[in-house]
Amino acid sequence: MSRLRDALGGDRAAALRSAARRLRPASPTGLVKRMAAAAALVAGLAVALLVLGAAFSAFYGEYGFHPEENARSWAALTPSYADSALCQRCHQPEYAPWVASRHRAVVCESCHGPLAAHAAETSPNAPAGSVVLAKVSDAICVACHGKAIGRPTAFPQVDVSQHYAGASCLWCHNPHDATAVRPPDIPHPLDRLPACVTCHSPAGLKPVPAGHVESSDGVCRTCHARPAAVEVRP
Amino acid sequence: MSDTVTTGAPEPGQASSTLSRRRVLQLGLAAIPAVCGAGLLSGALATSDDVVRGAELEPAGGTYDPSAHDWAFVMDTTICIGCGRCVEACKLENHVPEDPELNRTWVELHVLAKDWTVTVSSPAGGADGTPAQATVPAVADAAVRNAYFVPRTCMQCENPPCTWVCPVSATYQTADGIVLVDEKRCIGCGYCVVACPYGARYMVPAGDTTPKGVAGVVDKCTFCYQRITRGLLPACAEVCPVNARIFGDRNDATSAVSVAIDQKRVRVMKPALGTRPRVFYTGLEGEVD
Repeated sequence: MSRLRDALGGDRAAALRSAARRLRPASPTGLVKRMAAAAALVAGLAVALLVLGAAFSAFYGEYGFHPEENARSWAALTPSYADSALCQRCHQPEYAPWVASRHRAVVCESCHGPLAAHAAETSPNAPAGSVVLAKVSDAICVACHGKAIGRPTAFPQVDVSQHYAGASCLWCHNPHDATAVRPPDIPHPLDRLPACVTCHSPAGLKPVPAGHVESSDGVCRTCHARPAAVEVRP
Repeated sequence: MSDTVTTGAPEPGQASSTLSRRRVLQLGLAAIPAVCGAGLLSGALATSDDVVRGAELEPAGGTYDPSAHDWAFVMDTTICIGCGRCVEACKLENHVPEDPELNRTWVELHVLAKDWTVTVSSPAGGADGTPAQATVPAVADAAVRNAYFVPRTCMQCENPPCTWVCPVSATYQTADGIVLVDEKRCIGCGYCVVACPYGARYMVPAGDTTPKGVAGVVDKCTFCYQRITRGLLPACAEVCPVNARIFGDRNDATSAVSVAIDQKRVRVMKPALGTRPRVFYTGLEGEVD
């Protein structure tokens, strides 16, 4: 203690003792009053915090961190793609061969695009909707079946520059049953014959079948001559 | 100023009538733990951590409990034909910008040459189907050792770098493992776009919006959260004509994805990063690790 007094100097040690004495409550009543005052201040701060918090969330709450609410809003978006089972209700003529065909893994919307809106507004009783099926083009067929590097070799694919170039896939292939009807090769010589349509017009000697692709004379051989690379399994 | 420190001990009762500096300090010290406690409590009430635990989501189709699911993909590169139907379906389902370079999902063509060089190409994200053989850059036919298509998407990492770096905690993980972006909180700094080792994120370009109509923020694959919470497949898996994208719930041991993970030889992309992706690959040689 004397070393402390020496270190601090006598006056400062006395002042410290005096301060320590003052920190002790003078009486039990004084202690209760101090505790009450402290409790009141804490309560006041808590109230102030709540008021500030309420004001803060009113101002900032919409932009606060609410992952559950945000996840819910992602889940609440409306899907555009439906389910092929819905299509069956109205499109049975296409659906029935499709589910039995090699194309059954290719769902309706793979080729026809998102149809949830179309299915939602149409029914067998009210078939006329504003959302119509996309027109399927050859590009859809070639996207899968065009010959390309990287494609598994067991997957059916054709070199479009060799396989009936100039014809539409749908002239021969029915995508709903994944079959093709190969057009007959021309069985007779073509030398010294007039134009094809002379005999093969609808009113001609040997008319083309009903529903035949409209064609002009120069392009008959696009389909009716077997191309060099007709095989689809390279 | 009145300095009570030097005037000796106050009379009993004096402290309650005059508020000395010491009294204010004493009360202030007493209030610190109280304020800290209140702050911690309010923080805990707002959110316990970055993971949404057990929150019941109720989309149109019924109730959905995120904590009951563990979604995953197996991408089978041995059967993907690179037709790009998935890329188009994703764009239409999720209002992805028309810019062909911005995609939530895309398909890459990996060409592995005999001299062990690797060429990765994905023109327009692969949406238009395959590039013809002749368009594959700098790869002569004879030099190709192996070539296959690799469907890409957000890996929905269990340990996602994108959520670590977000300075405003706008991107977070749900209990079912999906990494989502809170577009109200996102400030569009793009740090997550750079941090993602898989290139799965993009900034929504000027003039375009997210599916929820917000501009100037980051967008990414959600595994089609609006679909999987309704019991539907993600749009890319729905339209895949060869079932190269196997999607399902790892909590269900009989699901196609669980069976595929068990029975096929799967790997993840860039496993050394420790991101623990939820997207597995078969037939990938690790050429892009």
